[in-house]
Order: sequence, then C-alpha cells, then structure tokens
Amino acid sequence: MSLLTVKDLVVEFRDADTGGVNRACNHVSLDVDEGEIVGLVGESGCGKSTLGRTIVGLEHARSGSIIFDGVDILSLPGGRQRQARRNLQYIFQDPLAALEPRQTVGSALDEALIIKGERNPRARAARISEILIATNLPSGILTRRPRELSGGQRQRVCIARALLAEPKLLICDEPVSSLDMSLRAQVMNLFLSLRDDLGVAIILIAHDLSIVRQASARVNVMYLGRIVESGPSAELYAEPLHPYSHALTSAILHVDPDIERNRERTVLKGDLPSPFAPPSGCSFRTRCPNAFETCAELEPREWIEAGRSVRCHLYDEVETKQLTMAY
Amino acid sequence: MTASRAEATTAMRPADQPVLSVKGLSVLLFTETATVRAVTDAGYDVGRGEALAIVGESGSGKTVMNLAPLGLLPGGVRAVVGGSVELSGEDLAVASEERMMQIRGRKVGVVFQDPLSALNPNRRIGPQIEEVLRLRLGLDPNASRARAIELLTMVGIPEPDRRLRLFPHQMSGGMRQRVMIAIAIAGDPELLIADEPTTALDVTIQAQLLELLARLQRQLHMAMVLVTHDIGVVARIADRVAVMYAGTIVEIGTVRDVLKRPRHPYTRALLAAVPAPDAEVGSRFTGLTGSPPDLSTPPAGCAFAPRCVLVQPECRLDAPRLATAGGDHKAACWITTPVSPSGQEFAR
Repeated sequence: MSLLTVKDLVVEFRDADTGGVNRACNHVSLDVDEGEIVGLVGESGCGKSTLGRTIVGLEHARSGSIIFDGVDILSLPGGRQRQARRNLQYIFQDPLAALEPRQTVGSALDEALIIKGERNPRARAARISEILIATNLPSGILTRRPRELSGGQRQRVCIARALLAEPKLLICDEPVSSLDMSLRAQVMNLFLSLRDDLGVAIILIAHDLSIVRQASARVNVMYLGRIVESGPSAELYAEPLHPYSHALTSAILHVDPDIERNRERTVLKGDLPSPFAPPSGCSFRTRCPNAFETCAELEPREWIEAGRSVRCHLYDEVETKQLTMAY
Repeated sequence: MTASRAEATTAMRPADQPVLSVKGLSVLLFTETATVRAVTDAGYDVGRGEALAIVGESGSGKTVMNLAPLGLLPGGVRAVVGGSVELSGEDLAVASEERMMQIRGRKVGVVFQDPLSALNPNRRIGPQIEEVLRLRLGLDPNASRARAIELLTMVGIPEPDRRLRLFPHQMSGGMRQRVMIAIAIAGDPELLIADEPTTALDVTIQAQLLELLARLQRQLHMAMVLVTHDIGVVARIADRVAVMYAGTIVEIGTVRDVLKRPRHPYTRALLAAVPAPDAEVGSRFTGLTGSPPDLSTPPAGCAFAPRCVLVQPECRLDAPRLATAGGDHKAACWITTPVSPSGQEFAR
C-alpha cells in the first residue's frame, strides 16, 4: 500500500539579484510503499535534495500534492501540516552539523522523547536502551558528546534520535557520503534492518549509485528537476532506458582492473546546464549522445510500462509500448 | 589500450631511473594537543609514464605521504619529515629552499581536490595562468598568453580565449579542476602529484576528468602519484598501487596483483566493502567494525590487528614489515605473507 504519494510537485527558487527562476522540482511524482526503500539518484543540482526537503516541510511547494499516510498534507493549514508530518523524519548528510555539540548523546535522545510527549523518565530510559540496541550503539555512548564519537557512531545517533519519533518514513539525504567506505556498511545495514524489523519506509537520496542499487527496491533518476526514469533497481541498472541513466550507471567503476579497462564506457560531454536557464524541449538534450531534432522542440512525455517509466523521445516511436533500450 | 601501456612501462623500467624515489619516509605532525606519527617508514618508486595510486581511508596518512616528500604540506602545518627523497636522481634532502621552489614550479605539477581554494577568487583565470607561466618559465606576456590558450585546449576547455576572461566562480567545478590541471602541466613536469582530484565532482564529470588525466599522463609521459579513496579509480587509471593503513604501506604492487590477488586482510576488506555490481538487491553490505587507531598513541604490533579477521596472538607483539608475495608484490602481514626465521621472505 502506498505510504507516500507525491504528485505533480513544483518547487521553485528565485534568484533575488537577477529575478531568475530555478524550478528545482518540475512536476515531480513519486510513490513509496510501506516498508519500502526507494532510491533517488542524480547529480548535484538535479533537485533530489529539494524533493526530500519539501516532503518533510523544509522547503515550500508552489503546487502539487504530498499525500502521506492518507493525509493530503499541503491542503492543511500550517500547524496541522506539522502534525501530519510527525511520522516523517529526515537524516542529514553531516551528522556533526545535525547534533548539538555540547549536548551529550543521552540528553539529545531524552529530549526527542520529551518532545514526543513522554513524561515518565523511566519509560524514556527504557525506550532509549531499546533504541541503542536497535542502532547497534554501546550504552556507554550516552554520556559522550558528538565530537568524541566516530563518524559512523554519530550518524547512528542521528538515526536513533529520528527513530524515537517512531517514523513510518525516513528521508535520508546522503547518509553515508561523509563516511569511509569500510564504515558505510554499518549504517546501510542499519537501514535494511529498520525496514525488516520495524517496517520503516526509506527514501535514500545519494550520489553513490552502487550503494543505492543494493539497498533500494526501486530507483528514481533525476535530471534538472525532472524524474527522467524510474523502475526496479536491478532492472534499471542492468538495462537503463534513459540515456542519462545509461551514462550514470556507466560511470560506476569496477574494482577489477581487467573488467574496468576493457569495458565500453559512455562519458558525457559538457556540464550540467544552469537550472535557471534549462534547455528547451528535453533538458538533457545538450549532453545526450542520442539527441535528435524533436528533443529541442518538445518536452518528452512519460512512457509507463510494467513498473518502469521513462521520459525520452526515443520511446515515442515504440509502438507496442514495450520499453526496451532504444539507443 | 591501458594494459599495453602498463606492459610497456614495466618492460622499460629496470634501465630507467625512477622519477621519484622515496625511502624510509617518516612524517611527524604536531597538532595543538598531540604529536601524530602520520607516516612510518614508507618507500616507493614511480617511473616515467607510470601512475602509482595511494589508496586508503581518512586519516590513513595517504595525503601526507604524497605531499610531504616534495615539501607540499600546507603552510602552517608543523611537521618533521625524515627519510630520503630523490627526484630524477637529485637528493631533495640537501636541496636549498630556492632549489625546492624551482623544482616545485617546473619539475612537479600538483592537482588538489578543491580547485576553488587554490585559485584566487578575485582574479580572472587568464592572468592567473599567465602569471604562473611568466614566473616559472620566464615567458613574455605574448608567449604566456599563447601558451595559456594552448594549455586550456589541451585540458579540453572549449573556447579558451573567452574562458580566460572568466573568474573562478563563473566556472563549474569540473572546469575549475581542468584549469588546475592546465596550471599543473604548464611547466611540462616530470611528476604529477594529484590529491583526490575527482572526489568533489559529480560522477559524469569525474568520468571526464579521469579520462583527461590518463590521456595527459600518456601524452606527456609524466610519472603520476594519485591519492584516492576510490578503488574503482585505481582500477581505471593506475599501474601500481600502495594501500595505506594507520600511516604505513600495508600492501604495494601492480594494480592487477593487489586488486585481484590481495594479500593484506585490510586490502581484502576494502575491496569487499565496494558493493558488487551484481549484488542481490536488499542483501547486507560488507564492511569493517571498529575504527583505525589513534596515531598519537600508536598501538604495539600490527595496527590493523584489532579489526582483523585473521588476527593471531603474535600480531599484537610485533609490527609486520613488507615482505614479498611474489615479485614486486609486497604485503605487511604475519599471517598471509610471513617472513622465514632466516630472514628470507617466502610467500604462501
């Protein structure tokens, strides 16, 4: 069952100096089922963090709807929006910035329970020791401050604090990119356990494509404010439909030098265009190796088939609507 | 293509003097509160046209090991550097500060992770590159202008004469890193020192820059020492690799030996931590527990012992030294790569 349905969401930022408009989310739609991990990938400036931040209420939506747990959040007045989002928690990239430096871990966790309305100190202590076990943290950590912890421990403290609110959905924005490779596993495995044991759904926003692939049932690829492709992650990575998804997956480096040096690799030309002046038609066309005339004239529509979707003119002519790689 | 290049350099090397030869390098860093042994007894050679990657995690000493031998540690860092460093046969320990400036300007090019901190934000790109060309190479204004345009073309910047008029903030991160590479190769250096050159960039831009570095290194026949935490980058462009843990080289050899037949349990753990492209969706990730030791109080014995799956009691007594695992491939591990009592190394 759908826990979160984002429909036609538009989020815009205005440059105060030039008056230019950056449409960071351009009619974005997204579904997350209960207990599902959904990946959101794309390069800096594609709008993936803006989408996550708008869902939790950190950015203002210009139009569209966010239906969470059966409630149409954006139709509610401000105060009730916060209430409707109480089962939504956000995990930031930099755990050190998200934690109060002078506050001990114990006090930070206790505070989260007080905010939630738990008045009984013994109940709070019991809940905190449960959450330490769930997040694989030693109880000795309660008297320590963020600076005294390792990066992996800090991020798990942030996750522990978020879990005390008993969220149904965690939005994790680059949760492991500040961590060393060998430590990422601790945090990623914690997410997988939370999904299995507590049924928490997760939106995983990350630029590390191979981590997203392994963790997520479904993946959405964003480019300049649009979701250009979505589908089950194993299928999307094995056979990307959109030329941009193809370039992204092609950028994943293999650790076997014989494989890495002998494979065909698609290297995109040029940079991401300014989001304040996106190209006409398909916004990817300026870097697309497959672009043709139509791409500059018309925005591609979204083709949907068997759990996969793609926004690309290459699929306009595919009559049976069987989505197989068209380039 | 890359494989044949690796073979060519291997065949050429014995007769060829290494461009950079580092022996017994130790670096002590002095922080406000502690003295940190950032690098202990490290040695490596890099030949002409050869790319050596130094791979390791935060705090492993990989960047210090790359920068310290050439006096490139940032100003303000208090350090004692011991050991011998030769650049094309010249002993840098006895080189004057003036000579070191010359060497850093002409014989060595440097590319850092963050080009924004290396470029002056208030000056246009052109004058910054041209100034380097005048000061380092003594070119006159007309020649330096022409050379700047030539360099930007070499690093794949379209419309170079227009770009020279831009300020750094008017360029994308990828373009700025190309400008840094242009400055680094301006003096036609023998050695390119690169410190996480693509880490701050998006994946599609990282792909472009890796191709560029590999192409330039081949074209200009430079030796390159590249620091990275990304094993995929090593597999893509390096010929040889040194794996660092807690300030020591724990494994070194050709990329194929180290990545396909890793000896050190830490190298094996690093490789296992990279998600496989065909891993089952939803399966658990592989990593390491614990964290690296505090280098202000280094442990006795093998620094990796507390996190090692193969650990034996003897590992905690003495630190293992690099021993051969066959040919040029060396690892520092009592268990996988022991040294016989006679001192003769053998592999098992």
